[in-house]
Amino acid sequence: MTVGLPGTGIGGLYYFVLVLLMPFREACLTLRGRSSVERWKQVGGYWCILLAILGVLWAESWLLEQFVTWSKSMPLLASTIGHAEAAQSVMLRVGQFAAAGSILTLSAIVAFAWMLHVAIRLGLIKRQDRRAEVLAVNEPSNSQRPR
Amino acid sequence: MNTMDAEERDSAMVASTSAVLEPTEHSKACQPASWHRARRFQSRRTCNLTVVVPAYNEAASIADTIRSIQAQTLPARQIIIIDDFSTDDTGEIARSLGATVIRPPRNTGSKAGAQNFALPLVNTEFIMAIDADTTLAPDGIEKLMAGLDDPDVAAACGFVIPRHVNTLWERGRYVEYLFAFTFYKPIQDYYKKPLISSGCFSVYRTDVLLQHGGWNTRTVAEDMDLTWSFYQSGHGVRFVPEAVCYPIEPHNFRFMGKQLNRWSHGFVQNVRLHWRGVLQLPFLRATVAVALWDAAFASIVFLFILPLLAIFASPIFLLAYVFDVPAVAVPVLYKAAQRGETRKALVSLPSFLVLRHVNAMFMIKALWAEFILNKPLRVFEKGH
Repeated sequence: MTVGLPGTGIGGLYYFVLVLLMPFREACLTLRGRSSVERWKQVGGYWCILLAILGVLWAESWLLEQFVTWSKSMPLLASTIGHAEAAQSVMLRVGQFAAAGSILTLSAIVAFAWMLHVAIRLGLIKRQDRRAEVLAVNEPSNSQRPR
Repeated sequence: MNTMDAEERDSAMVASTSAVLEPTEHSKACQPASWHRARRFQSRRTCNLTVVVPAYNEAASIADTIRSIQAQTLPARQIIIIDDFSTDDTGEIARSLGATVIRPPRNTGSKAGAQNFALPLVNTEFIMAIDADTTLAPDGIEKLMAGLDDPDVAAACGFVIPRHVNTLWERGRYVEYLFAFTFYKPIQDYYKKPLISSGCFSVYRTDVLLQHGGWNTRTVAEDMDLTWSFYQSGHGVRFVPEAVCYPIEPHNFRFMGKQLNRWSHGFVQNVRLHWRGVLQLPFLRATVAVALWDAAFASIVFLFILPLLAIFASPIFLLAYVFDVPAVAVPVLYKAAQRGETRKALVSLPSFLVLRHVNAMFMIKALWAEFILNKPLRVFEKGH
């Protein structure tokens, strides 16, 4: 299964960051003698995919910008997407906000999870065993079963 | 874990086991095909594998599944079909193909329950779980077994590709799988923590599986439960992209809904169950936290915030629904091109946009039911 919405949101950014970090991790492993040419090739492959993704996103942004600029001269389109100039301005602001907001949000999520971990280690969060609460599917009410 | 007691289970198995494969022609034939492969799989790992296939009313697909297992370049020592009190000819078909068929005295109610029913019959070092509607690439088992070369690895899972890609739902799933298994999962594997060892095609070390009590029925996603339990006990899990399997995916909304409902609830249930243990594992902690955030927040944005912005601010916000499609398309087309399926992938891309909205809908529903209403999903429903 794929949890969440593949390709969207913070999840996509998270995996981008993971790929960005790979060479550093691999360099550390190389220094410890635990890497190999095959592993570096693997990292190179992920980087190629990442660069291709960034490339198409950049191209898409450029095309969109061209479209909005062009739409200023088309009254019908301009009225459809609101006032073109205003729309372009909104898009620019949204784009900047989305980029900065996504990085901040991702950092906050990872930091929050780490703080929870620390809180548990320090005993600040008391143990509440929810296993009993989280069901036991022992008495099925129908005869269907999953793949 | 299982509703039946051990005595009942044992007597039922003795009564219903129709064929034990060893020593038969099948197990005699269970030898590597070449000297090189023989060297690679010499000693303890040579065919030391039992394949268990839980099946409930799978008459339409079980034959293909069994044949694909029997035709492997590295055959298993045993193939056990758990005919989970089917009302069709599942058991008879499996028996006619020479598989060991066991039948519990009543429906176990879950895939995990059915798989556990077979555990007492397993005396091999490795055990593989394959869904009854899933066929394997001819070298699927051989490739997947390589994932267990490291003794610290308790489980390995393979690449999943829908067998039929015709309807909107199958096409959406095809793109989703190509993306996830080409981009997300290999990255998770690079950091040694695949989020889940998919239940439709995974191999386990039998002793480690037994130490964990088999497949647990406390959540509706037993594969995720087991994967996270392995991590917490210090074992590893691997993803082997070269090992390919082909399940039948839901072909209409009704079945897709059942499957997504189960998967969404399963994820939330596992977060509730394992959150404390998961927090102790750095990479998994971050991955699950991000997945949970995306499952909740991205779903809300997709279903509610973007439409409102489009109505009250500017229709241009609707572009957000498709803005990331090229980003998704890169890994999808990369993999599709390798498989010679570029056209199929391109045609299927729009279906993915539909499927991901449905994903979002079911994820919100599951979060609401499990966290807010405290109404966990308890009933398994078949997804095809």
